[in-house]
Amino acid sequence: MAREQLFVGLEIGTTKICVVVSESLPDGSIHILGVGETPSRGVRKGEIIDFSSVSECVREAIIDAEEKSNVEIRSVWVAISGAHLQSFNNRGTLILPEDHNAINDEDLRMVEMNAKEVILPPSNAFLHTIIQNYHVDGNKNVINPEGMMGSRLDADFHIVHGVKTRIQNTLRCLENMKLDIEDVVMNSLASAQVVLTQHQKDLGALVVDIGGGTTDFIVYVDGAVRHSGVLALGGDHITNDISIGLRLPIVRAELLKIEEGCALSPERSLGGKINLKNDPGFSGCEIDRNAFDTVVHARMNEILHLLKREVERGCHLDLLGAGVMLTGGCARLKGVATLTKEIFQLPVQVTTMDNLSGPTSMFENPQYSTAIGLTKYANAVYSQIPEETFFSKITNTLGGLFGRK
Amino acid sequence: MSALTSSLQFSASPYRIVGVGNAGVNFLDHLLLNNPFFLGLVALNNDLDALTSSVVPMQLALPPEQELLAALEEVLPRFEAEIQGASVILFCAGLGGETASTLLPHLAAAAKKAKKLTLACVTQPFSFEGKRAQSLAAEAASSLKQICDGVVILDNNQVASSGASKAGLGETFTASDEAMQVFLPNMVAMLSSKGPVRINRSHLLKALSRAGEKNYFGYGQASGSNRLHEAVERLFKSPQLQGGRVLAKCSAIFMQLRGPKDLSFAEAQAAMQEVERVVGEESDIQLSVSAEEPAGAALQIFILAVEEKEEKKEIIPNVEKISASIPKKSEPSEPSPAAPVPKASIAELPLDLLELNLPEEPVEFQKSAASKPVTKVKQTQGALNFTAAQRGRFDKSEPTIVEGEDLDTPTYLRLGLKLI
Repeated sequence: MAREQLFVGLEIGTTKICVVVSESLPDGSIHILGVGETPSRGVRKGEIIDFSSVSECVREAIIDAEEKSNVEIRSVWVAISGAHLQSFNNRGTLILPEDHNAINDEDLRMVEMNAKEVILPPSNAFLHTIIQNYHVDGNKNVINPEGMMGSRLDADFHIVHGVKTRIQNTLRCLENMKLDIEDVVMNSLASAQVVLTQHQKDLGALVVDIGGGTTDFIVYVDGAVRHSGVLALGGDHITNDISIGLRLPIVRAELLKIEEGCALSPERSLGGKINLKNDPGFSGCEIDRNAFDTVVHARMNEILHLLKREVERGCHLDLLGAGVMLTGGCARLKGVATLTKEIFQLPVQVTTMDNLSGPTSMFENPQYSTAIGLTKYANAVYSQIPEETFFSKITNTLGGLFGRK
Repeated sequence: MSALTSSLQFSASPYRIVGVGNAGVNFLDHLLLNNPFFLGLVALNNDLDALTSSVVPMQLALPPEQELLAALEEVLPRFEAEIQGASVILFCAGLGGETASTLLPHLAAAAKKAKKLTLACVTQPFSFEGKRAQSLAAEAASSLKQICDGVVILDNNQVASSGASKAGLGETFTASDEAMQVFLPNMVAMLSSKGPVRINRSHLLKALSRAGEKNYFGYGQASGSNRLHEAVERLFKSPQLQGGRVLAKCSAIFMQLRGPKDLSFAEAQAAMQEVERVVGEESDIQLSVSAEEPAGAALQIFILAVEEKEEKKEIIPNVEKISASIPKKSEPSEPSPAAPVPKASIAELPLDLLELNLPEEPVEFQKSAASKPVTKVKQTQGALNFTAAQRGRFDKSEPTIVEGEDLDTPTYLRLGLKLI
């Protein structure tokens, strides 16, 4: 496998485990070679609760992806989620000596280290340190200060951290399969790579990935990550509510949600009855659509209000000129864009992924945005960093996580 | 339930737990059957059959209900003799019955007059017990609040609602007994905590003495490597705590963590964090930590929370009605609920009441629990927790708590939306 051109993204989701194999094209876009997928078992709210089941599912998804892409997978980029992930913004400052010629790579690394000098809970580890902007002697919003003269260098970072053992558990699933782990990427950061253009990031945008177990979000303002987080709420909660409220088995409730679910207020309900046909182990019945819509709307409305409150903690909504991009499996729920628009009072769109080629059914479906985004993230990382520097960076990241150098 | 209190060791009795009436004596019986080392229990009842079958060593037979008030002059001195030597008197009873509702305020007044720290832990009657029982209970509770240093009122309806809707009557009453069985020893332990981190007793009493308050409690225990997390999980599954939701509106929360010597600082810290995560960091939580349980004992966590209600209408205690039927006293200084003993402020309480020094040597039984023909209480399987049942597929997963609300419970249920 040629590392420079092929990338494999692995998302261990609550609903499905997805492996995307893609190759980078000279124009910077990526071409999807194949997607392996298997229903997920042993994952709740984005976190592993049954290690052996998850390992088995990952194995199946990898084999599926290998068959479809005709590529032998040796290394993967892994997406991670869960309510344990937290973020904050912090500034690092470096006073440069008078005889310092110009800001160099080492200075940038030092200022990043300074920004990371914060006390995390003892069980947590850094996941991402994402640069927002540099300031050189008060000159704000410097994109790349390398080579510039200055006496004081400040840098704002968006820092993401999470519970070390929970991150490790995700990675241990892959150890038995003799797969190398290239890097671990927060779900929403990966999704943003494919659902947002640079222009949208500059305008200000919120990416909301509503998955099965979690709702991941990331906010871009002025081209940089301003805020991110995870709510341990997702499509599974809607299914669970339907199952309890309408007394349906979980499997039937899930199917009903996908086929008939609508996030809009029950006042706009079509009314009438929904006829559920007989299935093996389930005798058909009729359910009231108004009751069904009440259950779905109540949950979706709550998730979006909680999300709005969470986003507002990190950034003012007026700064999001490009509006809200919805992705993830639940973005396909009818009426979700309208409801989001009503709550956020911002333009909302269910995303499609640009700058991709390959099996169209894959990238038109928002539930694959994270796994595809991982490969695009990988492509971006590779294209920006020289190979030897890149490998040392990855070694440092994972070495720190596993306690080995 | 037997495991809940069996590891408790009470080496002395600077306190008396006084059970009044059938329910009160029942509570003590349950307590003693599960922990025969529990000392300082006194049973008062006019049901002689029930009293004879009780395992409580110290017993005081009362005259029949209709003669109860008339015989107060005879009853009170006997009661005062029983509580001599103790500094804390904790009354327990089920309000609503004639015996407890009528007698308890008088007993509390007598204890208070004897300068004892007087607390009452009572249950409100089930709604099916009728309006008369409710009214008697309300009057008695109101009187107790005026007399006692602290009153904890447990709502039986809330306890019953945690069980299955088709639970038998016996099971429902047993649930109430079991709730008290958890509460009483933990309350005593909280009052007599001696560890380096302990609850300020004056704060506890101040919270319990506020008028119009509502109390909630929860308990969880667990052993093993993940004991703290499991104990906290069980704590929030306690019927009264409703998954921790009620704690968010409580003005004072008292938490007690007890375990063997290997109880670590990190566990105490984690317990506080877990509870703060549910109730919010701004909440007033007071913690008591004790690592004096025997090796191998389970880690136990107990929470008592006080919700300060807005007083809509103060219930005027109908103590006149009670006092009218009391025979005229020869001495004007006799204690009477009609003129409740002025509640001493916490600052005025004798120092030894605020800082108890427990004797090291165990006090001998006055009457062995084993000498009584013990009727084994049938242990029944616990009823399915209401909150847990409503979490569906998330039953066994870590709850998503935001501002005290368990978001794994369906939204429409929490909002009270009706599905037509």
